[in-house]
Amino acid sequence: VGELSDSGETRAQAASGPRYQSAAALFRSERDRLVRVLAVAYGDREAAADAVQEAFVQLYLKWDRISEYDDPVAWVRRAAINRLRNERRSLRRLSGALQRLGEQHTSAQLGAGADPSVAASPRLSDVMEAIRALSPRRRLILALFYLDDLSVRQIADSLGISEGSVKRQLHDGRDELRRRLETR
Amino acid sequence: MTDIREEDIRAAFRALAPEVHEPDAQTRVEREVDSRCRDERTGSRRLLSLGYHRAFLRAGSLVAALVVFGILLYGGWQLLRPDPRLVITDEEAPGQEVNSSAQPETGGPWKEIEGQVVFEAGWGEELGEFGRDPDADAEVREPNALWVAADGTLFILDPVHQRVQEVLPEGTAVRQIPDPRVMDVGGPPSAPTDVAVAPDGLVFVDDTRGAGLIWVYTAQGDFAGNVQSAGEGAWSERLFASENAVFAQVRRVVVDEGEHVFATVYRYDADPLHPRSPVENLDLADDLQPLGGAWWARPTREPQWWSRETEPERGWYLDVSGPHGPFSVYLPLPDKDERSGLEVDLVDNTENEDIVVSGRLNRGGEHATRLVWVFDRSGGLLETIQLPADERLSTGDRPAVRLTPDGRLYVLNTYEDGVRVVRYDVAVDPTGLVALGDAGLSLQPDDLAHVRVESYRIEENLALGWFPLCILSPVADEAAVRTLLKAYGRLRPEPTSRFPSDLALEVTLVRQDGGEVRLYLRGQGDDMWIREIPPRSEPDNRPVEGKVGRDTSATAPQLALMLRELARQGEEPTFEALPSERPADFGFVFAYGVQARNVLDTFAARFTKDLISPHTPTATGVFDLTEEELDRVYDELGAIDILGYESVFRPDTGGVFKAPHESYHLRFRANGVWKEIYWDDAGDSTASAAVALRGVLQDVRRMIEEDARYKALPPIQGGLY
Repeated sequence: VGELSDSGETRAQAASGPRYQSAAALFRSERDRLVRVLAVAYGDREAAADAVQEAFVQLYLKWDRISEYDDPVAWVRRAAINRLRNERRSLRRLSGALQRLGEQHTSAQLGAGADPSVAASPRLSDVMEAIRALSPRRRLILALFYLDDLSVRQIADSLGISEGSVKRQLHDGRDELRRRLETR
Repeated sequence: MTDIREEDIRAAFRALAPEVHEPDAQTRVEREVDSRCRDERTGSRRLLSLGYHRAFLRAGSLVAALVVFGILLYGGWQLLRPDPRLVITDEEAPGQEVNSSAQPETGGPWKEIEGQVVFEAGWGEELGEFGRDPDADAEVREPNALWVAADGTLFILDPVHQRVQEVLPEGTAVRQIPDPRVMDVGGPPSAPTDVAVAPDGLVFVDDTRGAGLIWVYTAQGDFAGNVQSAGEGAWSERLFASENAVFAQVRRVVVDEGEHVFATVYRYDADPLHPRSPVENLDLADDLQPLGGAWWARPTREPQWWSRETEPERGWYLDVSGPHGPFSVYLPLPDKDERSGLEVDLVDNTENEDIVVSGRLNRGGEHATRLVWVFDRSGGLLETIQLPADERLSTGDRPAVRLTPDGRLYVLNTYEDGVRVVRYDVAVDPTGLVALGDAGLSLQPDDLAHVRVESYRIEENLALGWFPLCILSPVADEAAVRTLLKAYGRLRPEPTSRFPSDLALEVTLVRQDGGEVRLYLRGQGDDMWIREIPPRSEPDNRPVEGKVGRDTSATAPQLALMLRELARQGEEPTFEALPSERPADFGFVFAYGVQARNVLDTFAARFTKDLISPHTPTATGVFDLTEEELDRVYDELGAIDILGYESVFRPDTGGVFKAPHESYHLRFRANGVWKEIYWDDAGDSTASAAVALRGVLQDVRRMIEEDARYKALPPIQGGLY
């Protein structure tokens, strides 16, 4: 892809990507973050990685156009989310994904990247359990906010919904977590 | 009260997030990009790399050529098979051309068909919870579109309440879409004009006139996404659905095998007759290949109003564009002298590509008569239905119509004081394989015994002066051909440039009576021949001259449709026993109880409980089985050799009959093959097959009724037993 990457660099220098000079630079900067957020939201690390990969393939192919966008990352995020959503074939599959999330979590023991001192907290494990019980859509919004540190505006743009809806979901999500913790 | 800090949530998310760094991820992406760039350059070469066996003998070609020279006088195209058997088609023979344009003289039959009222509800009446209260969940106002699922479930679009009502066939409203509880996320549509439901249950609501987008909801009514308008081009307002796709006019939304949703934006000139080439794919999901062509269909002028001066003498002509290319149809109308104008609207395109046009016949400015015409995809007029005259009909609304694949036509009419859905049984060719208009070939589903496909590679494509000659060799790897055909179906909308030019097919549709219809297809999608061979029992077994035809202009889309159908058929395996491993597509619909009114549908993840109450007959909830439970059911079905059971199971009961009794209906799919069993277990049969089947079905029942989601449903309210 040397030719394409090189031309992407060149194009980007002449173009207007505010932060990223090329698709490759954007990939290096954002790929892992995107996969982590989507893996948590949808409970399937492999599916998340595939979706992000496909989104970046499209980004490379259309860098000429996308580099002109105000926020190319939002485009990638949205493309990946859209792909993941499309691949959720049914509630049963979703249920399976949630189960896998639980299994993955169990097998990974809170994830290789987790802070061991934090992981030892029983309180934290309760919160994690409550997060896993959220609906994928709500979990996605919370993950974008708390894990990816996106603003309400950025989340709304990524999901194609209003800022009000995002705020409502965040509020309801926190409420739901609180309720679930109370019942423990 | 438990407090939860932002830091707790943040830490929990961080702990949940897995390690995802992969050093070679970027390399993989770049390789993939590189590969796709190469594919784009090489075009269809990739398709042709499938492994065909080149078994043709060069010596055979010489013999074949000599044979062909001997029959030059026959004219037309020749297909020389390697056996070698010569097939002669005569393009000069009288017959019906595929691209028929119904003229006044052949405008099709005029007939009236009795309809059956599915349900009727007046405003404020309590009928299946319908229209009871302006604020009630089930109320519907001024519905303007209708969708009918395969099981008869109705989806009625209510533009006033900005929602879709899902109504069971008997008239019970069961759900609002979007789910009003989460409406802030997924809507509601502001000015919805049409609804379509994909085979996997996704519900599409066309709101291009209002919000400029198409809403997509899950079968449970949850918001799933939307397809946004590019802000230009004609309004869509109508959705069209086929077996595996939902189309809109301005942009196409496709559900590909129940998995993917994507859209392609098409810009149109002001004149909808001449759409530009597709110019841009929707950003969100343009990674998928389109399934269908640039498919749009609408009257050439909309709405169509003609003055008396411009009306044809005996009716109206209507130009329609669709996947088959444009065609003109003639609409014969009764009571010509009383009409003053006609407004028509192309309403529907169904799984078998039939087309429904509804219209209003106007008299003195009032909409006096409503008509529905049904066309096949070549423009042949199949049916004309005049809806019953009724003074209660409100003005200004066209009827919402929907044609189901099995030929049932549903018409939703709005009255000043209510709504009525009427079902008509119309004669439509659901095979989608052969439909050549009024006088041409047609193959009804009951006729079809099986389809035989022989595939050839075109080894030589000679042009001997004016005489073309193809020399064929068999393609031994039929699976590869089917893969190819499937890929071809996905690669439209440029069939003529994508279809491999070195492939030819001979497709034989064998009737129950032994007669055959043969279709000869050659590469590039620009040649197709059709001939009909009568049953062997008939004394003269020669091809019917009058029914030999050759397509002259619209073959490519028709070929595409045919190949798609064949590819689909080719993917359906048959087997004597269930595979040992549970196939990925395994699922079932299981009904049990008295009159089998409790229904578990694993495809829709839904359970309907019979409450045995005339007021609230059923309750429905989300219900899915775990992978382990599905494994268990599948294993049990295999253990009792479920494929050996008759579709209607009637074990020996020794004359015993009890009432009430359990009835079962099991319909399951495995590897694309469906099996269905009905059983009225009225006699407590102790036959081993009955005991075995009862054991499995009762086990499934226990699975359901011991589940918390079942117990959460309302209790049974009535019943004598």
